[in-house]
Amino acid sequence: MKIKKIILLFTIFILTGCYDNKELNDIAILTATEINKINNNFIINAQVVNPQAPDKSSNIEAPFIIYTGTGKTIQEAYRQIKLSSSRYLYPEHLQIVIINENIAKEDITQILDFYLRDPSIRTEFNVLIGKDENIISTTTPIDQISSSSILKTLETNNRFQGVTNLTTLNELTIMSLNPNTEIILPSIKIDNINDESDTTQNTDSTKVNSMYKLSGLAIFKNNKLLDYLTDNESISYNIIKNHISSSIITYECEKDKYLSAEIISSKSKITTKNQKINIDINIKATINESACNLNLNHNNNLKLLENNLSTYLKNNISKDINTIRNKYNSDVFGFLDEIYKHDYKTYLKVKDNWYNETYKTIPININTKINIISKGNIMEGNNEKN
Amino acid sequence: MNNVINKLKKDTNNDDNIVYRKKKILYKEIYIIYNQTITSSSDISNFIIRSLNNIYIPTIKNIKNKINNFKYKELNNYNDLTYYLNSGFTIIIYSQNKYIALETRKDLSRGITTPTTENTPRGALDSFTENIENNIGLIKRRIKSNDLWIKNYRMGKYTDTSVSLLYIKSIAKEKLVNDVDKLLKKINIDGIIATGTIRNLIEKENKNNFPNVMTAEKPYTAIKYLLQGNVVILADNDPFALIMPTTINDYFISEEDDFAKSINVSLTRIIRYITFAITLLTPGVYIAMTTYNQEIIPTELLIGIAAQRENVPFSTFVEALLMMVSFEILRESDLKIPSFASSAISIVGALILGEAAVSAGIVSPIMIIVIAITSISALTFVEPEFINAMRLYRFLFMIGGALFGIHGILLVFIFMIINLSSYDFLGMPYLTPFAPPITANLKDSIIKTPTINLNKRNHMLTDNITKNKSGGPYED
Repeated sequence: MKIKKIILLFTIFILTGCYDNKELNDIAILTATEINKINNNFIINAQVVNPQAPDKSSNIEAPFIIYTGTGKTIQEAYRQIKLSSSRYLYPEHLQIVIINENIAKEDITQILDFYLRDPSIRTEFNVLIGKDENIISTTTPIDQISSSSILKTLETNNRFQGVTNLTTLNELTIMSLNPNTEIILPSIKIDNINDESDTTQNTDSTKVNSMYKLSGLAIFKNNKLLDYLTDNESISYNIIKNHISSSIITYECEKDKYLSAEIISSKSKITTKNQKINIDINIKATINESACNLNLNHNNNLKLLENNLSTYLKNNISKDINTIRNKYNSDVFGFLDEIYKHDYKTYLKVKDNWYNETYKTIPININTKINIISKGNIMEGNNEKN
Repeated sequence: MNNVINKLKKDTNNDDNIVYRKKKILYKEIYIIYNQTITSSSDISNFIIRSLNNIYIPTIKNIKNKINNFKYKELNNYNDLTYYLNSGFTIIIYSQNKYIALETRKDLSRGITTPTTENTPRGALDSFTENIENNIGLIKRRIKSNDLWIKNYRMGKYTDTSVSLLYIKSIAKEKLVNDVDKLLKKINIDGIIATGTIRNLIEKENKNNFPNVMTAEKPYTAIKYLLQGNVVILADNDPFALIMPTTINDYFISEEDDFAKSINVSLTRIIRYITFAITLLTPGVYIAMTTYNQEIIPTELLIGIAAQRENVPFSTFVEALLMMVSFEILRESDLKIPSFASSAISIVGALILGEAAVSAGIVSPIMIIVIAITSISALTFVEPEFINAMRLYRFLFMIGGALFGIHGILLVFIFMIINLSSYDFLGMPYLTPFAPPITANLKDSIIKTPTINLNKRNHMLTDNITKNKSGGPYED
């Protein structure tokens, strides 16, 4: 009886065990995918790490390999890769997915559907809009695998400049499913693409021939790409949405003379009351560079500069909001969502007419407060002579 | 009288080593018998023969009084005679059933030397020897109280080894002493060659492969546990004392802890517990992560590992098993070979297990790191039984990881915890002081509180809970 029980117990193990066993030698680590659509066919570029390359420095093999597949669906295109790949495509380390603007202009819901449906893919990868084709196949210096290079660039840019933000598939899904907000995604392009872009010769010289470059945020409406924001508009958007950790404000302090203030921390809060949007922005900054004759040791000067800077920033942001409102008429800021959450009665009133009327006309009150916490090592203005 | 001599001669098959010497005092013939292999002949001639020469009236009372020998025993039966004869006594046969046994033992034991297995940077440097009397002496030297009680046993049909049970009467629980006493009395065996035999006879060997009985080479360790209420068993001809019952935490405590400040000791203890986890889990978790749950590993590291594994033809489990077994072989051979050959082994080991295996494409460099950290971690423990017990679970974890990934690691872990927590020996649950929680001992487990606060004993070991401990820091 006891033996029977043990055998029964053991069969559980035998039946379940090993089913997802995969040795590292049998998998191809998929790190990036680029999706394009031409003539109603999906074209997929899948970037797979070539594990031999990083081990031997003298090896001339490329650090990664691009497999291409086409099909009516994304899955079919992925499966086509199996015609040429010796190994099982392991998708759980997918770092970035680049959606070509061709698809983005039509609709991105099918892509979302594919990645959300497949249980073996983690939804923590970053999504970008590609302005060009063959972005991931371009070789990169330093970080040899272009996907991790792009990912690191995204992170670095978000930390120090703030033109882009990192949007994972989860965040994209939330933006897409929420009826009160619109999608906004970082975008990427390639400078100077040529025949050698996808060879190791590309990175041989000190001036890398063709190189990817992040650009302004891509703005969507109804899951369709409209256009790209400029860099300044992107920064304004990121400040309002709290996506920024550091950036630069360039301010004209005298005629043709400029000053740089680095944002150390930025906190913003969108509130709504009586059909009005209120944005409070609280910024801590340091002065990094100044061409003006400005003695910041005087408290009055400092106060004045703080005031000037915040007025400047306020004007900038309000100008950018108005551009986005009037030019694209897409509520990427989530103002309607804010009204929905905190003022449901108003929401019922405005929701039908939101894009026709309210969004463009709703009064937006911006309060900016800049606090200069450090003036740098130079005490007085450099032009100030006794 | 001749009957006895003839019987002895017959029983020992006329052993040449047993010397029969006839001596006549006046009218009385007495026999002096001793075994020359275990007696000191100078003692015999100096004390016994010389004394006998001064005796003129051969009564037994006279002999008793005149002989300058400190240890002496009157015997009256044949069995006792043979026992004392074989223990190195010289027997004077006065009549058919009147014998006198006089101690003339040759000193066959080696001197007290430094310990070879328990290495600590500080602390007493004496260790037990093969002579049980010396060993008891080493303990008695440290515990001068009358409360150190000793029960003596003789075990083994052929070896007739003396075995002693030591405890401190006012600390050790009476029940514990009685239990051990009963267990020891039950033992009926051909020979006690090592204390390990006693240990295996009273322990439930198959229930739990972690040790419940600690072997101690240093009197220091024995004293420490005696003062906590444990009992100590010593056997003649074995330099290792048995301490029982012990729990898992005792194997994490080292003698040098007594010399360091509690904060520093706590850090060391944490490292010891970490090494325990490392040595159990590392190969298993590595196998599980690289063959099932690759998504756990950061992408860059995964690419690095994949690059190293690229040329290895075996599966990760086989690779790990190969290295693990080779290391165990190396360790086993290192224990056996004489010290003059150990450098040869270490060169071969380092080359074969390290460089050559990697360049031959049999194992990946990361596997060498995994096995190295695993093996080094295991060697931070003193008790060989503990190291071996961890080895078994390490292999189980490897199998679990190879069959079911992280899920399998969890299964084996649950199995291990159930096994350890369900086991108790002489009334002490093995996971004490963690389960059941015993505050007195928890204060001296992963974290050691200042010594002055350790003023309680484990109530499961003793009824005498309060330690006498006072003292205080110097204050201005």
